Amino acid sequence: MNRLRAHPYLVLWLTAVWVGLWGTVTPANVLGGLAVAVVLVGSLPLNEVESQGIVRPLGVLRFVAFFAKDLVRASLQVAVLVVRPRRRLRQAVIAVDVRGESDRLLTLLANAISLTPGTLTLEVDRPRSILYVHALDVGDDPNGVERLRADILRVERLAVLAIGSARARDELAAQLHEQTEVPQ
Amino acid sequence: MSAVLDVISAVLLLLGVGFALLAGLGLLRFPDVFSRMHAATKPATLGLLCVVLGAALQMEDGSDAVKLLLVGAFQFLTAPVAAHMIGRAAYRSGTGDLDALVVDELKDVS
Amino acid sequence: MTVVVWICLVGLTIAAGLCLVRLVRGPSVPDRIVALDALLLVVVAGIAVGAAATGDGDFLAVLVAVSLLGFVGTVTVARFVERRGAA
Repeated sequence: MNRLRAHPYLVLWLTAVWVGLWGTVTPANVLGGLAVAVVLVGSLPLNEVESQGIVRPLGVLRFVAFFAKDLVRASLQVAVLVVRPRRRLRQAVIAVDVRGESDRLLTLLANAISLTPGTLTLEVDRPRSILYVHALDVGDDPNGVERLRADILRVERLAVLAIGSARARDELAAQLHEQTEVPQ
Repeated sequence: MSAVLDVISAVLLLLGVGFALLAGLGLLRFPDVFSRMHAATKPATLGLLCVVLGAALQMEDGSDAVKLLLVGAFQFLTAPVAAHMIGRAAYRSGTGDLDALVVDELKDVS
Repeated sequence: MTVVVWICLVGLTIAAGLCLVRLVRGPSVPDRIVALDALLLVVVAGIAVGAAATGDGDFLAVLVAVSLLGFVGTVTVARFVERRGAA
């Protein structure tokens, strides 16, 4: 019973998948799906996901929009790399420090990075909230590594604004404040 | 209306196939596991998403379109996890050209 | 539309061929997993194109199952490589 209460959306999602696979929305399909979902979620152990983060719809929208744009840009970049005449790729593994210690935020970021062509989450340091990201090509520019880190941190900022905990958001706000006060 | 949908669907299908070809080409040309993975797994996933969307527009039966969208949704959810698992396995087992890395900030930690 | 479908099928066949070359050449197990993964995606895309061409959705439930099984397979072999090495 506790498990069911901990994962209400999972039950909904499984029911939706069931109905989708049957193809038609009939009372029998919905009830059957619900029954299967309840049995599955109730009987199989799942990790508890901490729910300290607050989901902000507007932030999520902005994150999704940015991610979609990033996906297109990165796809084109990788496409260029693939068809270009042979040249040595400058691959790199960099560490990216993620604010806060929300598992959900870490998972979202790791997945977003892995889904974007050209970057891949290699390793996750959960206690310290650090993602190790492999990059296909950082370019000939010596600042390439730092530029990549800045790119990923921009995604991280949007993710914090979308689903981060209140503390992570305050931390972010304080940092931004500092940056605007001391112009470089 | 149906002509417009046809065009959109055709563009999506061709785009998807373009991605798939790109994936195949990258798989063949790139020098080590990591670069091949970058070139293959992700463009192929995006390509499949495009193809699935394009095909869904062609289906007359709504339930068939839903199934196609489910394939896309599952791929979207599982592709990054699979890529992470392969990447981690390749790194930990020392496959791939680790000496060629410009920077390796993981080496000092692990 | 028929022309588009033919172009798609030819393109996917070439892509599958390229994946096969990498699958055969290897050289390491992770290389082959990556190739197999991409090959599976190409095959799934091919079936989807076929369904779009005929308007026949009978295979689509199979498609869902195949793409999910592909994921399970990939993760399993990846874990295997992690424990036993990639020789």
